[in-house]
Amino acid sequence: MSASEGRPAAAGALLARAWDGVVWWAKGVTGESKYAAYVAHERRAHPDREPMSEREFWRDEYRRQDANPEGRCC
Amino acid sequence: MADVATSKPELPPAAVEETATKKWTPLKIAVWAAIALLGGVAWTMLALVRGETVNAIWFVFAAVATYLIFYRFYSKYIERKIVRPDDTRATPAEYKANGRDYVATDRRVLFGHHFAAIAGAGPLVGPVLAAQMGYLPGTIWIIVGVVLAGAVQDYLVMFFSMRRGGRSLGQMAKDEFGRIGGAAAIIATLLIMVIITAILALVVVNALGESPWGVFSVAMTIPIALFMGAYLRWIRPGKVLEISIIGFVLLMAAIVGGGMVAETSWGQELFTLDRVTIAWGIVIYGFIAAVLPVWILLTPRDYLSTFMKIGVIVALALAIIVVRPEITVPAFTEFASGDSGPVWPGSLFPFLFVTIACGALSGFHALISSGTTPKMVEKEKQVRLLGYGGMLMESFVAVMALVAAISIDQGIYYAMNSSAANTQGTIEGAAAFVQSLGLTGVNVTPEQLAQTAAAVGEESVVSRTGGAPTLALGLAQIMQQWIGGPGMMAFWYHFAIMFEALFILTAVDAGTRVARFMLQDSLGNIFPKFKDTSWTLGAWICTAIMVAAWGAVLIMGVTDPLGGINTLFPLFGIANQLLAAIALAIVLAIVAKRRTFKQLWVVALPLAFISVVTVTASAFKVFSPVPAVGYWANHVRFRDALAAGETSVGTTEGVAALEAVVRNTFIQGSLSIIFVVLTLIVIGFSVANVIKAFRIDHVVDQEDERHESAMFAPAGFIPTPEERELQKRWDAVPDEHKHVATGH
Repeated sequence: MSASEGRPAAAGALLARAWDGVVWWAKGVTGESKYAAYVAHERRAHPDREPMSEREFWRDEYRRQDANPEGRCC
Repeated sequence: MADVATSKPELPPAAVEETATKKWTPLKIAVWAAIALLGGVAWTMLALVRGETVNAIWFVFAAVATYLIFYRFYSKYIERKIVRPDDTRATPAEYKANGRDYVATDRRVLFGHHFAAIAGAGPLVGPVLAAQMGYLPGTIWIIVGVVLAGAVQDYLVMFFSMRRGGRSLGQMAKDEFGRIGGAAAIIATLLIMVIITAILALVVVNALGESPWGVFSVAMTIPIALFMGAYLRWIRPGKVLEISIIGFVLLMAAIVGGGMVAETSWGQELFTLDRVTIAWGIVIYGFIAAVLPVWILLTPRDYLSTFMKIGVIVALALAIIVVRPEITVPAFTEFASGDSGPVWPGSLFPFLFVTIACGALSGFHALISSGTTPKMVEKEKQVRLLGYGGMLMESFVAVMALVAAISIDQGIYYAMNSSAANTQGTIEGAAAFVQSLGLTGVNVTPEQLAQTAAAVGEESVVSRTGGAPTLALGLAQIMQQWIGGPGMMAFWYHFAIMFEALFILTAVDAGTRVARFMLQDSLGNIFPKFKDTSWTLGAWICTAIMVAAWGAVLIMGVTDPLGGINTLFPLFGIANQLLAAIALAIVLAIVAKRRTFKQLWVVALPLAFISVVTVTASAFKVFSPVPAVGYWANHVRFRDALAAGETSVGTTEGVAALEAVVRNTFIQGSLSIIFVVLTLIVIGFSVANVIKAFRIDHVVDQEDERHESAMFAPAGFIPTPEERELQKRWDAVPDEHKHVATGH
């Protein structure tokens, strides 16, 4: 009895985990997680200085991309 | 299992110790035997069994089984003998960590990231054109070529670039070959980028010409991208995923809306553009897009294109597995043994191997594999998955494109892919031309062509060359059997066109930017002011030069009386494969300098093959007396005709058209000569370096100095039990004990 009751909950948890995994992956591939990675790096390597805000970071990031274009393949 | 020591005693080891020889369990043996058997059966079905039809599922099995076996055994052999990765050694992402471009990135994320950067329209177009020789030559080259050449190139370039702190291919050439060899490599790269950009743009122009639906929906990507850019700048910075989903929904609305607009009379009037107009539009757009800051157009469209890329490829793979279309194209057609195919002229050897570049071996990847990805790799051993594995994925995309292209009726295939010079651009002309090809069992009626055009919401499908429309038709036919039925045909067709246009426009924009920086860097050697990339006038001048260069080739292709893509596509393939030869030549020199002589063949084999292919192909293009094949033969033929006062040659009518052919063949022929000469210079430098490496007795390398690694991550998608165990120990280390890496 308890097993059959537990199953939907377990399946739900599994599904939720899978969904979180997909979101984590998509954020990584599109580059959304860049800011988080930057903040993590700053906190560890330069705890003495305040990291840029998200808005500042993305302005700076696009400026960097302007100056260092990446090819896209055919 | 013994641990490998790290310099920090409080930390677990940074690498799993290689155990001498692991025993193969019976289960493991059984699994690999089953994979080998499945692959063997699939190849037998494709290559030897001659039925009326062959099921598309065998292409999937043959490809996947071959990839798995070569990934597991051959790439592992290359890793052990040539690459010799060392996980106790920190990658640039660790020792140069700056939180920006040097960021250690999870291998699964980086795999997706790298794949999105290398996969574009190339693997979708080449296999479609190659289908004129039948399915087998293309299939064999895509699958065998990737495991022995393409994936090897990507893997080694990525690894050696990583060992050099993520240096670019051009810099690596300069380091290994000195200034002249390096300069030849950079000039060749620049010219090749011009050709590739032009021909990709030509593919889009051919797909959108006289197609109000296509023009409307692709044009709508501009306001959508602008909106996305504004959203990310002012409304919610950094929320990339959310705006990508919004953008995707808008994109679908643009496709549906395009269908409605194309039915109205004002829509037809406004958006039915001829190919020359569209070509000029793309040239102007290319210039504007390349001088604007990236956040306005480039980056938002890139987000959309990443989404579409991964989504469509997964969907197409599932659809092929679910629908399992029957293929009626023979293994070899009559054109496989001649040089007079209507889709592109030339014999199987060498032209098949340049027509299919991306998907089997693509030199352009060497530019991507050096630079960005190597700066993000966590551990040296992951490069096998990223470089070799990533290229296998692209090859699989090419196999699916081939399946989609050959699933359509052969008569329609030839009607779509023969130049307007042959079909007169009419359904009657196309039907008559297909009849005149004299292929057994291949014919098409004007009614069939009209019905096909109506089904996909186009005015006409005749002479829609360039591969994209054929692929879109194949994809639409497969997808509608899975989702939506015949009523969805037109949507899926335009969905596929949109998907390819997105890639290509991004590639055009990004390619122009990269080329502009390369040009500025080169011009900077003469006029130092150009080195300053923030100098606006310099940036505009160099962008204008690059756009003018590819724009000229594009306009030449669009107005070419002989059909454009048919004559230009070989040049695209030759250019791409010559870049591969340059990349492999650089890698060969590095491998020799690391004194890995016994396994030098792993690089020498693909280098020799692709050099022979491209040099032969160039020689044909330069020297062949067959006008359809040789640019100069055609040049002389048309020039003589003009001199003799004639006003038509073959199907080309009018003095202006004859003059255009004389001009175009001159440019094409000259480019062929320049490419091959530059590449031979680079290969010459490479061979000289290899011989020098034999003579001296010590390792010469340009690698960055070694840094001890203080982090761990598994090498493959699925961690081994040993890796899992080590990962647990690392997870248990408190954060404050973990090594703080700083690159600045």
